[in-house]
Amino acid sequence: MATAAHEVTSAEAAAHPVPEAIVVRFAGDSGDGMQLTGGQFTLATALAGNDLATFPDFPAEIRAPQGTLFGVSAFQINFGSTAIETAGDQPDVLIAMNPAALKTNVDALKHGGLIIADEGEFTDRNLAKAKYETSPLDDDSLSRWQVMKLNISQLTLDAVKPFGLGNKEALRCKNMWTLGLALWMFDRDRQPIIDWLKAKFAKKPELAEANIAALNAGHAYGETAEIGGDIVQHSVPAAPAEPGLYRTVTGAESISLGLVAGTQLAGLPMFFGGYPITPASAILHHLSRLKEFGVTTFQAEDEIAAVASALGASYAGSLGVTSSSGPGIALKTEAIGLAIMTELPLVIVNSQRGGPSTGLPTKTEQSDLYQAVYGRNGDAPLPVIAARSPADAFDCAIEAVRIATQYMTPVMLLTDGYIANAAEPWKVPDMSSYAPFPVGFMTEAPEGGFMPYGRDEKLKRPWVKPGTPGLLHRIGGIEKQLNTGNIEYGPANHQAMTDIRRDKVAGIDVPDQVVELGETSGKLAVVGWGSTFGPIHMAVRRARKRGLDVAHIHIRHIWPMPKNMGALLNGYDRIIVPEMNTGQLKTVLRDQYLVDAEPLNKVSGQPFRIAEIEAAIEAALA
Amino acid sequence: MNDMTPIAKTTPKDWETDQEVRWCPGCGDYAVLKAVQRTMPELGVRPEDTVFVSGIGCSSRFPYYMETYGFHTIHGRAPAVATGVKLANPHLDVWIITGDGDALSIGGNHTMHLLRRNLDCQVLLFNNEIYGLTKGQYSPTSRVGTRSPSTPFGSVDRPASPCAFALGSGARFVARAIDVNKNLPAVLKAAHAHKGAAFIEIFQNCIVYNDDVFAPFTEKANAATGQLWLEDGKPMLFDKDAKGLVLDIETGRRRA
Repeated sequence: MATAAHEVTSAEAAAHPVPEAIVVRFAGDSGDGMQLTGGQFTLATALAGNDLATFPDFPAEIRAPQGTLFGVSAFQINFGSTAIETAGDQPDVLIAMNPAALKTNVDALKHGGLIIADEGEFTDRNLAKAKYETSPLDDDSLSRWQVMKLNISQLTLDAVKPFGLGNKEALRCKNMWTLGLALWMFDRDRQPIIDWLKAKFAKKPELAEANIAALNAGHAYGETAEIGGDIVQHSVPAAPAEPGLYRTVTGAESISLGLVAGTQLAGLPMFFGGYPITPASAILHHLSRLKEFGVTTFQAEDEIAAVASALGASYAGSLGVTSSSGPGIALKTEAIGLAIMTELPLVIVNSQRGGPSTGLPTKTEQSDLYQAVYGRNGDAPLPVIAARSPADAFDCAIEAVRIATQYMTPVMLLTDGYIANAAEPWKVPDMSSYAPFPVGFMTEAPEGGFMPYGRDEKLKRPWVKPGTPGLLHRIGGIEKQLNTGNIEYGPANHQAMTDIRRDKVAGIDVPDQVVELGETSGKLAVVGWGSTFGPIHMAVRRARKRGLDVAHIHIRHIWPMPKNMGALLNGYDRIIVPEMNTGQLKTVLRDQYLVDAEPLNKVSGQPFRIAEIEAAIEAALA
Repeated sequence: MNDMTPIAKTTPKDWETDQEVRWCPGCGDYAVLKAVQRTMPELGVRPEDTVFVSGIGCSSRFPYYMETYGFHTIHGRAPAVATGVKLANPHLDVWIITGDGDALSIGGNHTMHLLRRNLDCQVLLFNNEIYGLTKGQYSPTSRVGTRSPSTPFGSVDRPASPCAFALGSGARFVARAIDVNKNLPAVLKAAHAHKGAAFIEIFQNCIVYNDDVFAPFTEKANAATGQLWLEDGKPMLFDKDAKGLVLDIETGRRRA
């Protein structure tokens, strides 16, 4: 059966290998202490055990006129976990302390990279010195990158106020504030810098304390504002890109666009019930600006109202969508059960984060698979789809809408904080290449009478919009009688309804599982899902280059799984499942297919390193 | 829907479903059901444009007995579901059926926000001051000292007042009625006519777990002295017009 899924081809996937390193460039006035800041970050990074390379870049003038283009001093640090080979990588993050620093460095920044700008320094005078006519922070000129505007100057002044420094001295602590933020974002220890500051300012302890306060304030800011370190972790393809219209897109944006695309392909208005939660709030924000596409957004009073209102909207004939992260999805559980029992379409997006409970809001993880597949009371099957990247999330969103509306069921779309926040260049698709899947509402009673729970060949019941004469009926969460939908507690009926609910979901047509790299049988398959795609792909590619017999399989449809999955997995002698959890997909594979899927687990809030997966491949084939 | 076509006349029977009503004999819910079914033909609405949304509780079985669209949802969440229904299709006439536990215990939050947002709908809160469906535990509106399976020595918490809660939430239409009282249809009509969230607290007798808890003002002998029916523009008098409500402007307290 034709689907609207648009395959991410091997070529496209290969165009975005995930490197191991992050490159951060600090840029500011030569008098701002950029070398100092960069040097201290280097120190902290080295102590964290990363391999690193640094590239100081400073002007010849000791203290060039403040704010001028030729006065910009920059310090770049490339840190990562495998051998850093080159010194010439483009930065992923640019910290620009003033307009001149931004101007001289921004073009080096990777597409989709992050700019952290001290907006306190973007005054008319400084903009003029840097030859900007208007502030780039306020117009569209920085649309190729992500921009975080912070009034670092003011935040620093606030932080060091208790120490009674003069204005100039206080502002010199800015670099420490910024360093504190960078340390938070990249999980580096503050203690070495604190020790260093105490030693440096031994004769002026109040300066030491002020700088330490600034450092701690920057760090605290990162934590309180839940600023994550998930930024672009890919490189621009070395080979020429496919011709076409490209734009930078984050996972949150592409899911939002995909949901709109999906509802358009279904011919429905969308109702989005949401509630703010890190790292999913961006989806609510994006959709709230898309009203002209028939999107109604509703910031509900809590997570439960968000999903309940979405379900009510589906009942009324829109497509209800809701989105959250782990703790919020937990709250939605009962309502999802109601959606399963009333067999209404609903899309639930989970941007997973470190758990359990409040966990680590800004750290990435994929530990909600059990919750998605199993986590409701009763035998309550739920289709589950997982996105692998920002670009892939667009197609996954469309697929979620297709399944929800074609099978009258809620659908869980799993993504994670890393995908949500990371940006990558995305070739804008030609929507005419997607087959529509229009919804057919029942508008009059069929021959034989209207059965609210009558079934078609897909085992789905009819979707009737309230307002339709002649088809009035009531639905609810209590078990219902076959066909009529009346309340029914009888034993045979409950068995039959349970079986139908199971069979309907099990029978959902999903595309066959393909192999991303390698053959359909062999010595070893590395099987993953979600954002582990990048590291697994690189690891398997490198291993295959060295002649190892290993394949990469990446699963999008977690429930139901593709019909060929069992046969495919049985073709390999060994199966390894790298996951950022304690082995959840592994459990499902073992249960469903009786294969000895072996877990490779990492629950540290950080993505896998290619080397970790390579090592597991080597060990498995030794 | 073509709004210009005249709405066909209906009778109360047209608003009844074929389902056997399962409330306990003597339950106040029967009276409310009858009153609603009797009132609907007079409201000039189409059954197919009418949606009853309920939560969980004896009251919340209501939608199954009304020949309209109906959604029996989950405990406390009817206002949230109803909000989605109404926002997706504002032409629907939405009634929320809830109870003292459903609306003020688990559902207090959603009830507050629905009233604050002033969603155009009618909220019927069946207050029987007890949890009937789950066999008689005390509820947020039960009086202090209520003995129940979960409070064998008498309940300790002060009750909430549904109307005070509604007013505090910013509701613009707040009314009270009694399940068997002949004024209920008039209250329902006024609520329906109000554009915005119309909140009605209906004192409903639970014959099994809290029988006659309202007798001090609902019983025939007490009706005159126990009930004051407000009529717009008329003085607030009761007890055969012998008594009224007086506000002491110095202390701000009421004196009968």
